[in-house]
Amino acid sequence: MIEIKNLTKRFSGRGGGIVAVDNLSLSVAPGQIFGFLGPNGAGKTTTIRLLTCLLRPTSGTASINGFVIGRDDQSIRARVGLLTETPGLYDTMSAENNLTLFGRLYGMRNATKQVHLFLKMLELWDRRRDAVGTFSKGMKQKLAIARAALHNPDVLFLDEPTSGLDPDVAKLVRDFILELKSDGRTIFLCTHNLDEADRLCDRIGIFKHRLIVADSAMNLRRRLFGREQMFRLRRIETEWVTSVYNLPFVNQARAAGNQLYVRVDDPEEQNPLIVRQLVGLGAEIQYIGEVSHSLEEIYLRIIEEAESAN
Amino acid sequence: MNPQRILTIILKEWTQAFRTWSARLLVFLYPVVVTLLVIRLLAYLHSRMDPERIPAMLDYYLVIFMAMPLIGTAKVAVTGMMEDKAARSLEPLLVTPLTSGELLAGKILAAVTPATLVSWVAYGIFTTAMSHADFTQSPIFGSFHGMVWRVAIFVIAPLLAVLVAAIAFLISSRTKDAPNAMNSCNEISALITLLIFVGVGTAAYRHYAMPPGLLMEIAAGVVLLNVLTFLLCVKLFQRETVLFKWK
Repeated sequence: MIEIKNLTKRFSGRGGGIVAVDNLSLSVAPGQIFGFLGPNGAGKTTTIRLLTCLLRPTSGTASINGFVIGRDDQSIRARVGLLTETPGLYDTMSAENNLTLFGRLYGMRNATKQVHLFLKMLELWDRRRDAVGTFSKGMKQKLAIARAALHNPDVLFLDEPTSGLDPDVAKLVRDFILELKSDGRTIFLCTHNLDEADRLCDRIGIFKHRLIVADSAMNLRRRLFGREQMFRLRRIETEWVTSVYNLPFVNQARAAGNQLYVRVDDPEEQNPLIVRQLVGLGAEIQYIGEVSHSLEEIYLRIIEEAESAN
Repeated sequence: MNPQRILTIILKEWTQAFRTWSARLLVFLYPVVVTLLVIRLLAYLHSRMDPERIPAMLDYYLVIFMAMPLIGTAKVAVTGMMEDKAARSLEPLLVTPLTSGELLAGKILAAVTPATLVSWVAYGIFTTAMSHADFTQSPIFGSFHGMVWRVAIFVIAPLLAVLVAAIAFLISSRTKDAPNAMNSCNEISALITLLIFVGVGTAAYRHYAMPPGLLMEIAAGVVLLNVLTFLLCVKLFQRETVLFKWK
């Protein structure tokens, strides 16, 4: 469980310095994958560094499973794992030794067993004795993820886990993240890959120095776009659009080609009424479906609204 | 302080530092070679020098043994720090329960221990050779078994090595490339050696053997310097400083 209350980080400098994280309040439930999205320089990495006790907050508090940052730092460090932006592996050491080193630092007694398990899960077993300097970017990233999760942390912070990886490796990494989630770990995922966030995350937070919004992707879709239904007709008449729009439960109706888009609150109850109206007007309905807006559309809309509000 | 974590850091530092032949030769072979040269030179000088001056000459060799661990220490300290910076491996390390003190202690011990132990082995070779050499039958050669040499080699030399390691960390944290950091550390090691050499040389020039009081003053001075640099290093190894101030 991550609890953040009014967390602020100001870096001193000329002109009053920079506020990287401004009054952030947020909670992430145990076993959730929380997607932390935002443009470059929004303060996502700083937030992660605050939550992993690498930086001290200027004000505000945060806790990980009840342990308070700044007070219980050693307890928090034992319970969190971090995948940093760059893998930060020791190139001259083997994959196995890189992991064993961190197992020892975490005081693991069964480090070897866990190291072997993760090397197999991430398809690095055959190269376990090779120097990491000879690894591809994808292999290094997989190893860095294994290192972050090695000590079975309660909370795992992943900063861009699939950035720059080919689709096969990215899928393997995503499957590994889901495997960790199924073990009950809380995962705090920073990513620019919105499709990935949509697929993996239970909740999404959009952040630009302050938290703009935090909710499930589905709720964000509904909040921003409502539930938009698409009716594909053989042909379309202008008066049909007006007629549908005049139905009391319809929030919006528009035509594009031979498709009629209607925004309603309760499509399960209201779609049959729209169908009846259209058929009564002589329309031939070929297909009905709900319009799915991508997370990218949601993200861009929210960022745009936040910038115009500022 | 958790000894297991300190030991892990020591082993990591050694893996990084001793992967090249140059580092192995510098730390392990160079002191032995220098010692053999010293023994040879002493045997040569014995046949050509006024025996009255030899005790003071021996004190010059004391300087060599005191300075012996410095270069190896600097090499290990700089290599570990620069590789950590280049690979950006410090951030993952700092997320672990490793404390700043443990990290600093691990790095200092990793840098100081091999070079110091090798210098002690070199001193052992030197004393063994001297005890078997004909020209050391004279009582004047007994000085290197005495308290002055022991304090110098077993107390002051390790303290100087710790000082050099701490200075190497201070320099490496602010330097972008390893050769520059190594050069700076070597310059400082040379300066320290020179300072000792001047002190010992002055005593030798005046035809008397190194007074024990002078060595104790040197030891006290080095301890004071160590405390100051250690305090600077503790500040330097704070997580926020490592992430933002190290270039």
